[in-house]
Amino acid sequence: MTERPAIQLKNAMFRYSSADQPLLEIKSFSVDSGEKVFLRGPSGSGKTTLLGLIAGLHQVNQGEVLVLGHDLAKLSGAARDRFRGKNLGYIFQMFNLIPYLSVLENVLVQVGLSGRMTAQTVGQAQDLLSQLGMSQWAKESVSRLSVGQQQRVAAARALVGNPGLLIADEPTSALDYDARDAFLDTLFSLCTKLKTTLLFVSHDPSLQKHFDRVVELSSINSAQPPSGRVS
Amino acid sequence: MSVLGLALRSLWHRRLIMGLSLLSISLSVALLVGVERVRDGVRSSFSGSISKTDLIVGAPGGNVELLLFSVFNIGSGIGGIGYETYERIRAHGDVAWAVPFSLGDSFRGRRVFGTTREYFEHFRHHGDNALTFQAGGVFESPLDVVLGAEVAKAFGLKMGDQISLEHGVGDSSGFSGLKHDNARFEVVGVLNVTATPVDQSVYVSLAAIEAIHAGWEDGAPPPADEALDASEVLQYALDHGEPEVISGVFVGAHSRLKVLSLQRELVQDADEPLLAILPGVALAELWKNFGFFEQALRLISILVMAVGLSSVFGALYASLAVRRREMAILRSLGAGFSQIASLFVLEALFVSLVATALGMGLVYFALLVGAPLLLRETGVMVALTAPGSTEALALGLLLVLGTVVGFIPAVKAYRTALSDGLSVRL
Repeated sequence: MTERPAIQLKNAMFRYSSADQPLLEIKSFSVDSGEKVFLRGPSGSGKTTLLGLIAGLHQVNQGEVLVLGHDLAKLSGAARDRFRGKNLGYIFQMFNLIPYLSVLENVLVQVGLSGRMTAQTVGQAQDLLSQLGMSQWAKESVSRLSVGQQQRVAAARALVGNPGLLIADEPTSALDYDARDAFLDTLFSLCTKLKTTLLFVSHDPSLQKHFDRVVELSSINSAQPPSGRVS
Repeated sequence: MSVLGLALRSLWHRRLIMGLSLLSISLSVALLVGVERVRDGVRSSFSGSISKTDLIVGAPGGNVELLLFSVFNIGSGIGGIGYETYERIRAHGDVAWAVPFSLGDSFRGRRVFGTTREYFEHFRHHGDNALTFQAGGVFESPLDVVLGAEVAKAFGLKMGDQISLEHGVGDSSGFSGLKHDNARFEVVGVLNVTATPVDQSVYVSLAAIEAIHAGWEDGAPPPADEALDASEVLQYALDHGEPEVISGVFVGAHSRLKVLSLQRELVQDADEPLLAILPGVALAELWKNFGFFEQALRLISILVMAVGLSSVFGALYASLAVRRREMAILRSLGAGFSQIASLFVLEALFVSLVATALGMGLVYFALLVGAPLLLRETGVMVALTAPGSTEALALGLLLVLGTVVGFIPAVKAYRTALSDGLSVRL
């Protein structure tokens, strides 16, 4: 493992427009490489926005965001997109999949877009699907899957190509209790095996027992909670 | 999965709505190319109706009237000129050949063209095409008749059949109801299709025209007891030979350089008022009258194409809302502007390309099947040639506009995806 943290925010400030109050003001926040961190906060507290900053979809107005050692502000927009495509896995709360692609195609779409479609990544995609118990669905249309199955496909996609950082935004909130635990267990063992750093965001404190470290967003964000703005 | 693959899969996902757009552009391409082909065919059929004839000489009147009357079988006579005028023209040093003609009778609505055997030797159409026979040959006897291809076909006439002619031209003025039924003409030749008014003409000798009008000097048929019978008509034709009055003369000059001076001399030196026209100039003048029609056709096909393009634009734009989630996912997977934009542009380009190919296929198939029918029914010869520069330009424009049409929703999609970031709510 390298010494450098997977995520490092220093004096980061973000607001949607200069007229708005800052939504996020984070003096310091870092996640070590290989760490599994649970970031907790109520709805509308800016969790998804923080993930957008780390994923390079939004830009801080002040301060630094370093991801896997790269200062995102120093990259061009296109370079940030490429960086995200190669180094980050992302799991949404739901609706993670492209409706017109099969299960296997969905798993491979990210490596395809970043030009890493090789026999090796295809093999890894099939392995991941089988470890997630989805290999018999590989050729199926994703519209036939349950929500739990869709989340497992999304996890496979987020891990194929060994990204350094996996970001999961409430990935279990649409799952029932049993499916949730099974999903978390699999995700954890895969991250451990692949040595992937995991930043997991949720409002649900019952999940936090699984994680190395729990961070309360309000404890690192010194901005006033916004009145009207959502997430 | 490459961006192209994604674009095609996405397109297939929305195949119904995009299929409708595809169909609408295909039809507009077919219409555009079809209209251009037919327009081209009409123009070349039309302007090739007579060629290698340097001058048409007739009684004074309008240039276009003389052309319409002598070449297109349209309009009633504009008066006649003396036969001796024809003889003087033929004797002129610069004249290579001169063919007299006399019009004014008809056969079941088709014009009767009274002329000499030289007509078949000198007449040319569509460049240097001479008249050829599918059966028989040029008339010999005054009671022989040669039929244009369409006349023979329309009335099921063949070699050896007997027909009689009617007095007057059966067009807007109406068939006079008067028949030259004292003389029976025998079909001795049937011409090949020319895609000119020749196909709808009936050819007899000048002597025959003269003979069947014996006794009609005041424009009405002679009393029954004075009318000639068939054998007397033949004898009259053989005795009298050439008529005193003809409708006009087709003239070929030795040199094209002499045509203008010849035109001037023929008109000035005549004992009677004459009009000499250059067929090419008169044809161009006449075609100009159809210009509005051409423009209207073109305008319609451009409008249809615009409708087709806007349907693609509409379908793409309408898909933006549905695809908002898809764009957010692709963004989270590292898709940048060029990849998002490519999805839309490739899709629009693909639809335009396929539509162009489909439309072209459709129109050429239709022409392949329909061209002989069109030639038979309208005398318009539509050649199965490669698209002309107008079509190439239009199709090129279609592809460019197709790309542009894809680019607008692409930019919109990217902007939406930028502001959505990771938080699209459905």
